[in-house]
Amino acid sequence: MRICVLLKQVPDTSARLQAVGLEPLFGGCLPVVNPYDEFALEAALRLRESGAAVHPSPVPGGPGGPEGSCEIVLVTLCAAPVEEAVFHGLAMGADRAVVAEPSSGARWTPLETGRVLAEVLKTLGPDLVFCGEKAADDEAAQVGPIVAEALGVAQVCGVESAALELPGPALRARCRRGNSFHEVSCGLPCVATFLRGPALPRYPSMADIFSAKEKPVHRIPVSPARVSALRRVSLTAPPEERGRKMIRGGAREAAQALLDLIDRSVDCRA
Amino acid sequence: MAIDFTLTKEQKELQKMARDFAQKVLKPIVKEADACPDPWKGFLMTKKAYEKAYELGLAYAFVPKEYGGAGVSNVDTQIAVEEICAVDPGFGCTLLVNGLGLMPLIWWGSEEQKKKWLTKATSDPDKDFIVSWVVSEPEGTANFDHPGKHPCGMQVTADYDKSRGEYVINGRKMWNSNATGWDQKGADINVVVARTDRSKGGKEGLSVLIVPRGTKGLRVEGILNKLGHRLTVQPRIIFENCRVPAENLIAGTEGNGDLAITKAFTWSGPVAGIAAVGVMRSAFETSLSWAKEYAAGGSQPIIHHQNVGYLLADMKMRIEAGRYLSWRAAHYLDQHDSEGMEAGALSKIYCGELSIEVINDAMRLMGINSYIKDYPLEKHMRDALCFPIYDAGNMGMQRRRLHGIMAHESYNPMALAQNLRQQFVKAMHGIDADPGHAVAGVTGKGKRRECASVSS
Amino acid sequence: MKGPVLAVVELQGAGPVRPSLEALGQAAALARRLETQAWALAVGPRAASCAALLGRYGAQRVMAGGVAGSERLCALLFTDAVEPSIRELRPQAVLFAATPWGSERAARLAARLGVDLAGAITSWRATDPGTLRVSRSVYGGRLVEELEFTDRVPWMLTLRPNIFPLGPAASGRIPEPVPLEVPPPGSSCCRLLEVIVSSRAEPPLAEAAVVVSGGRGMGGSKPFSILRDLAEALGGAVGASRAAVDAGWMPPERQVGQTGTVVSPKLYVACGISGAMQHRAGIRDSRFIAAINTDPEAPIFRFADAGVVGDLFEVVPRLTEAARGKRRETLEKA
Repeated sequence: MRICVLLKQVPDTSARLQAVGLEPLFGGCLPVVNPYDEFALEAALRLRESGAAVHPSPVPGGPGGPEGSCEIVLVTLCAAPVEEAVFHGLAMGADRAVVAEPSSGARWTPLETGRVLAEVLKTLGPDLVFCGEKAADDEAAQVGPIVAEALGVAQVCGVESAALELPGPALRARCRRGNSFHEVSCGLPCVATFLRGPALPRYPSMADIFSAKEKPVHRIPVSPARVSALRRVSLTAPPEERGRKMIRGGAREAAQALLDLIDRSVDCRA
Repeated sequence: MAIDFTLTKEQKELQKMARDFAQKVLKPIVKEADACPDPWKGFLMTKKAYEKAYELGLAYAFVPKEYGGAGVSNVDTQIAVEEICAVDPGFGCTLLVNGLGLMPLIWWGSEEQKKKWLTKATSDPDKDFIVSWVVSEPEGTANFDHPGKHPCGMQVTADYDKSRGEYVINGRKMWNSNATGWDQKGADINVVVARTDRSKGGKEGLSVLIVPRGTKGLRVEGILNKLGHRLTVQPRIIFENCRVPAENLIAGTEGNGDLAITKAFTWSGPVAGIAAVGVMRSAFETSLSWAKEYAAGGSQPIIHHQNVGYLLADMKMRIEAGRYLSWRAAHYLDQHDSEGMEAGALSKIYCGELSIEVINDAMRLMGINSYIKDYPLEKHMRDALCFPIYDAGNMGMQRRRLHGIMAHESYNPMALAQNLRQQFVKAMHGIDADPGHAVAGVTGKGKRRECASVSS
Repeated sequence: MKGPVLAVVELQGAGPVRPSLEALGQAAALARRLETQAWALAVGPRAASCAALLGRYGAQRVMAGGVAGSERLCALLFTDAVEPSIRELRPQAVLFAATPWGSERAARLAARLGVDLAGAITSWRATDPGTLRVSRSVYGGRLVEELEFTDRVPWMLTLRPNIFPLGPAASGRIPEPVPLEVPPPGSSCCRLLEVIVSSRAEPPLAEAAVVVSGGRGMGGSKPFSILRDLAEALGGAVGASRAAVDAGWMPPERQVGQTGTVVSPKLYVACGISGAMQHRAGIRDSRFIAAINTDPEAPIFRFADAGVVGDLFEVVPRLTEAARGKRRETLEKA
């Protein structure tokens, strides 16, 4: 069986940002793996560890994965060097990585990204494609569904936890949708997008880190499928500071004064 | 372009892993464990974090791969240790001592000894295997190389009982980190330096023995209540006719216990150095963000004042200088199989003493608020005050070693810069062990008076 | 004849969800700007009966249809179901609410139609000549980007809930439902087995008008009950900072902030939350932020509209009391 995990390298979520022109400027921070992609990778690793993933690939005619094993392949699209994100994924336990390197540094829309990733995935023939629900930078939350559409398979979104159901096989997922949870069963192959779930991404051990050096990273040059129809025209930092009215007094007086102020300032009725 | 201060992919990942561990697993327990009035209870609070460190390979990373460790270099160790000690150097000390105890085995042990003991350490299903380095005694450690015979210098003895093929250990030790184990019954392996030949001085009479957990005659007598580094414990221990089989003497250390001590504390030098860097770094970051937010009742944050900016600048210079000296010492040790007595001492002394200055500056910058327990600087200061006086104290052992090295005829001042190996010899332990006792190998112009050598 | 602006409506139980009505209102406004009609599309056996309601919120025509079970089509089958009708309609723009349901269907549909999608927008502007500019949050709320659609092919958007006002329901002509041809669902391999609704009658965080959140200062999970009382008194939902979720006091779906849910309520009450940047980024679009914290230096106070330096365990129950008192007053007066 083969599980492909889409990884995106994003700036550290705690970095201070300034908007300079159309791109953000980071205060010297290290890039990280998109946190939601880490949850997706952790889910893939747990699926493999549960043993259920070791069986012949159900992808008819497709390359599939090596018989009797579960291969986890990282796939990423990035112009900048993606050393850290890919290495982290390999250290966590993925077997190898495929990096699609765009020829130009121009910004890619989710549609272009999804289509190119789908082309790469077609050459890998995965049984499952896992990725984060959204990326911590552009937060588009589109690549998962776009990849599913391009591959012509079903999508399962908002996954918190997943397991493999046999016979089938099928992906059994618990999905968070607003205030409710959906229990979903989806046949393979399919695309699953992950939210933060109960299983926290593991820290790679020392041994994992130093053996990740040996894992293969294959680079493929790519160019966008079409010229984007959506372009960014500005990037700004919204003002943050507010009224800061400090309310004094004991608990009771302060509570009453606060409520009065709230009532005067905003109508909370839905 | 050989001098490369950049981190490799693996080192960056290691740094990330160590930082995540330190911030998310270790940090949450630090305040409470440090504040616990009973040092034993405080130590026990770190057990879960220790088990996680074991799981991640941080507890025995230095053990070669063939015995189950990660076989990391000293430089790699630097990266991880700085992250851990930026959160708590006491916990870092617990991990460090595993190394102090096992490195002599790795350097001198026979193949069977290494296989037996190292594999035990790296394959513990309970994930709490802990090793102690039992050298220090109530009368100190600094006079370990005293040329006088017992009871000068090291007073714990290990007498060979030929009839049973055993060494019998007697005496009192003190300050031996990890020697309590997790239940005050001893570490899983206690690596003990004792005098195996009562008739010889420290340079010929000491050896290193392995005392496994459960050996009768080893007793923990009390836990020391310290100012700082409270997440690690040091007990008083007493050996009363503690018997170990002869094969537990680490082959090659017979009569060379002094070299084992020096080399172990050389190995730990850059580790103690980078530990101090970690603590300094945390103090700096605290005072930097304080300066950028605190206005002291004025119209803008105090960072706008030159004085504050200059203080911060001076602190930063020292932290960076300390870090790269530590890295260089670690690198030198990697290049020369840990035969880096000068480098180890330089980094240990410099970073440790510097850290007290830097944290003092951080406190002066922050003002009286830094004096209360609500803010982290007082803990940093308490922890830092230990650096010059632990892990082979700067005065009694580290500087003394440097003195011995530099006074020796073979000393090359450019050896460090040119990455040349300097072989350490026993004469370099220190040339003033006993003032009247002339040491061979030391040259110098001018007349030397003959002093009666000390006998007895 | 220009193609219409189409709003795709999410139906749940009783009818269209509120965020879909917000999106429909914006579809109507955009349609006026583009001098064309506003249409709504809904799938399900009860879709046609919502026509009157959708008309009151801005739809001039309503496309509705679907057999029993079609209201629970998975995203793949939903896209298959609506694609032919949408292609035929040739709309100028297609709008969804950026709810979980809407976001995943809009993304798939846009990919199917081969067009770009701007997701979770917080404002839009139809500029001359014939382009559309939209704003959305990026980098976890730290920055705002403005995008411009350069082709008109259709423009596809999802709108962040709780940002656009729900216009007053207009009375008037009930739009005649246009039958929607929903092809019978093929065998989907994606089956919805069970829906577990949260037992409390709380609105989802992203849609709540009031959010009361607790952070590290709460000290445990039991104390959150006082926040639930306050949220109930104010008619809102309970959230948590990342610190509280990491400590296991609240489940991940309650997390407010950069890596949790970005909220835009009218009132946000932060209790025992220091106000780290990642948290602030998640609440930036709140109309009014009130903070309660014992630490006068807590960063949250600088980014709040009102602050109380005090013990939340003293202040919050009294706030609840006062709110209940006001509610009783209002009810008595009514």
